[in-house]
Amino acid sequence: MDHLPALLIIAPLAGAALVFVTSRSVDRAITCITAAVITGLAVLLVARVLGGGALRYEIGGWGAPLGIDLVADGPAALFILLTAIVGSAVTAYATGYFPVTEPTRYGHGLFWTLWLFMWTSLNALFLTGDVFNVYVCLELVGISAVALVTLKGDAEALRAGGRYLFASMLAAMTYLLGVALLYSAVGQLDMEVLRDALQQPGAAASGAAVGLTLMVAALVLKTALVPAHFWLPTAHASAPTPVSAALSALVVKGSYFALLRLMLGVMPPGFLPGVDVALAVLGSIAIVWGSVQALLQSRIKQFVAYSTVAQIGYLFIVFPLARTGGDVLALALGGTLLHATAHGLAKAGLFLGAGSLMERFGHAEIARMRGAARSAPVLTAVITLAGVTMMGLPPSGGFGSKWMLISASVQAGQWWWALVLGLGGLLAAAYMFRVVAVLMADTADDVGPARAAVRLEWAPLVLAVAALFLVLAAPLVNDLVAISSLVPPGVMLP
Amino acid sequence: MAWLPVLIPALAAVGTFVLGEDRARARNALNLGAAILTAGIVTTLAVRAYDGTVTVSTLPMLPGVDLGVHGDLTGLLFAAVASVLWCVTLVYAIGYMDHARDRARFFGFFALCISAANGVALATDPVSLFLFYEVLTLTTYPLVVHSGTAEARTAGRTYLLYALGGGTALLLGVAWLTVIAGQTPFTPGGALHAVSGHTTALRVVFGLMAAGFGVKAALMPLHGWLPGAMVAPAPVSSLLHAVAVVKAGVFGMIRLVNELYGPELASSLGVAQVLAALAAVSIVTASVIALRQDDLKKRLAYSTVAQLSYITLGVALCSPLAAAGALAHLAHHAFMKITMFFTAGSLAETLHVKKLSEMGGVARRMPLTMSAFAVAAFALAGIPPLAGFASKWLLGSGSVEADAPWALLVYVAAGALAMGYMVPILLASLRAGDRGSRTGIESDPRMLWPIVIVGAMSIILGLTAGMPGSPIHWAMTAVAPSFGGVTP
Repeated sequence: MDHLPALLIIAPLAGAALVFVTSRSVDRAITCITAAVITGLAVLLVARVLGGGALRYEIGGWGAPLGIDLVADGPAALFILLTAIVGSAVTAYATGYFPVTEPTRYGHGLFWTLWLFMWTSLNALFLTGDVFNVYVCLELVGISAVALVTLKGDAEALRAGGRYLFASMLAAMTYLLGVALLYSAVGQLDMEVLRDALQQPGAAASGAAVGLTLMVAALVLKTALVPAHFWLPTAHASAPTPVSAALSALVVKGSYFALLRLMLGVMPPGFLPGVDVALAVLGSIAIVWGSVQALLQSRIKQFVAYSTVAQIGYLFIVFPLARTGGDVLALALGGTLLHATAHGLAKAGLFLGAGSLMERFGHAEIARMRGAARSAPVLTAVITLAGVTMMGLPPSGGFGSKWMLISASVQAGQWWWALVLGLGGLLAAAYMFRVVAVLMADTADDVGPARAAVRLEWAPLVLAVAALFLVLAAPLVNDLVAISSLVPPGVMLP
Repeated sequence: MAWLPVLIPALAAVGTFVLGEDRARARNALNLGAAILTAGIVTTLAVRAYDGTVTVSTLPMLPGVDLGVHGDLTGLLFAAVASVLWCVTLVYAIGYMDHARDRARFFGFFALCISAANGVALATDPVSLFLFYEVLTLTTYPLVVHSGTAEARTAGRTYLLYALGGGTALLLGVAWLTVIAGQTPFTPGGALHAVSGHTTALRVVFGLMAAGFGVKAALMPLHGWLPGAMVAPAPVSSLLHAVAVVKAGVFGMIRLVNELYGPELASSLGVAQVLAALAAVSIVTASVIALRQDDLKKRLAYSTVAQLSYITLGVALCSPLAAAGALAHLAHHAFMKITMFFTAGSLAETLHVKKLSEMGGVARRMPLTMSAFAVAAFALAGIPPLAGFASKWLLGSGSVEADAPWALLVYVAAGALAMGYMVPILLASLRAGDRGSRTGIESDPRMLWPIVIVGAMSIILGLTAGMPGSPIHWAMTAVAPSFGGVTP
């Protein structure tokens, strides 16, 4: 049996445990080595899945329905690779961000353990093939994320953390309730077994529909889809910068991925009538509302956080398109996962870059960051290049995903989503260039000396550049999307 | 091979950013070397294309969509103009920006713009063209706001508003088209015969794409960004806002009408006629507005709006001669207008003269510069045997051929108006004034000689119009397949 899926959970967990028990002086070294190992394993997993199809790993050899299965299909492998790349950049950034000399500032002695633990939970969430296990992983991700948000320990961080904790707990409880109802109605928890069970006639009339509705609502809350986004901007903005990047780029993708599995992999088309359109409508509202809020923010991390609220909206257009099935489904799903990947890379870059700008200027006010193009050219480049992905302009991955979603909308005869996508790009340009124009101003605001750690500039630049050329990776994403139970067998993109 | 005109300037840009602000010599050498190399490669591709060999190169991108470039004659004419003028403009810009700040940023983005413009020129199909078209929008923005002043940032915002709005229209049009017809490579005479039944969809798609190209082509009423963008440094106004960026728009129109829809389908759908009417209105209106501008660069900008619509009108007439004239005018106008913008830049930089009313005495102070300007001005107005005459002759006879005498009337009237807005500039420079009393003559030689060279080109291109390799001959050869042969 191929142990790769299990190793992807064990490796970060072992790292977290090691960091916890060893002396503080080796925290950074252990985390960096662990990140490198996970990245290597993730690349191996992608290669394995591309070469030999999806992997199914039975924990302890028990197998479903009795045991718990891990499923490493194409989308899971893609998200694990994304997490590995972003996670490595975040780790490198964190080694420069948290000052070695002041171990108690930001309480970051705990950062390394919590960060690796969150990584563990995320990988487990991507790999799990069982709806109850999703609950466990969501809780683990949520708890470690809340702890990371409150690391700094000041009043603002605690308030944001409290709100985040509330949303997280509410979502977890709702989800658990849904799972309980589903289990009492169907008696199954494994996703593939569930899918077959739900296709039986009469399944929709049972409590399963109510249970699944609760589960969808919970995941929507965890993914911060408007109007359930109330917790996101404060949590993402007030966290230490490496945490902000990981939350915005990766954590929201975790619950989204579970939702995707539920909506497309577990439920037969039309099982919950109207929910798919409702989600896409909320997604469209999120695109507009998040962008408008991003335009209005005066502080840079709040600005980036609202951009996340907007970008999350794009991920929900896929659901009504998926009903059409076949090629349109594959195209829309490919576009959506490409968007998630591109957004993950670019948003992490944007947050890390924004955090570095804050450090350089000593404050968070966008309006007083004039002249950064001259005083901090690399960071200005980061903001601008990441912005290209946010706007969905070529050659970024954002462009590729927008193209595929627009094509899918037109093919499905639902051209109105194409208009939303077009409008979203323009709004993103509006909020990104508002900031870029300030950075390009000729009057210069005072900047502090550059921190010695070049990682504070180069880690975000690498991410932003990777996102900028991601359209060239679109064929890889599409190949991975095809290796999954979300796409009906036999459908291959041209 | 076909990728090189895109790749070399892009690599030069990366090198420029890496070299940084202070290593001016290395930067200049790198950029000039890249420019000369690019021009050489474009020439090589053109020689091959004349022999009938079109180099194509694609790489897979999105499902069912490849990113491709090819060296065909139509595209290479635009690429050749951009690359050759890049060499000249670099020399000018090195002189112009001698004491300026942020030069690494300036030259880096300048090279990126050329890379994108060459991509627009050589793109094999609407999707690839769209990709480079948007990259061109983005890479031009830092140049428009280069000075960082409030005025520049306002101009930048206006530019983005128009350009990204147009880009979104173009994206929707191209995506819709791709759903209807799949990826359609540009083919002389049109690529949409198989789907010509979708008349309504094709009309809407044409409208969306023409609106997208119309923004950069400054087709009225989409021209609003261009006069404001003149706040950019002179080399940007010269090469980008007279050549690369705006020509990317009209070049898109040429591809759209001749090689995507094909003249036949475009006129049977009725869309070409609408485009022609818009262009005609744009020519006359912009020329009249140009008459009243005191700011030299603004006057030139409105003249550009009018001249770009010459090209759009020529394409929209759907006749072989007019189409050839349009493509040739794309090249000729580039040389004429860049001379004028170089001159405006020299006047502003050396004498701080920006308005016609301040120009008294400059002809005495800068005799060579103003002579080159005069040649270009007369060429633009269509005085034989200069370059502008040759392309306008084709446009005019094309109007007759297309049985559109009103278009001929528009061209003749526009020629008269061009005299009307050009001659006052010359007269203003000849008036007595204190500008002549300053010591020294002319400007920095690195600014003077490029002006003289491009000015002389207005004469040379006019005299050699009939020879193989001249823009006229090139354009006639390039558009011939779209019509099944051009009668000279």
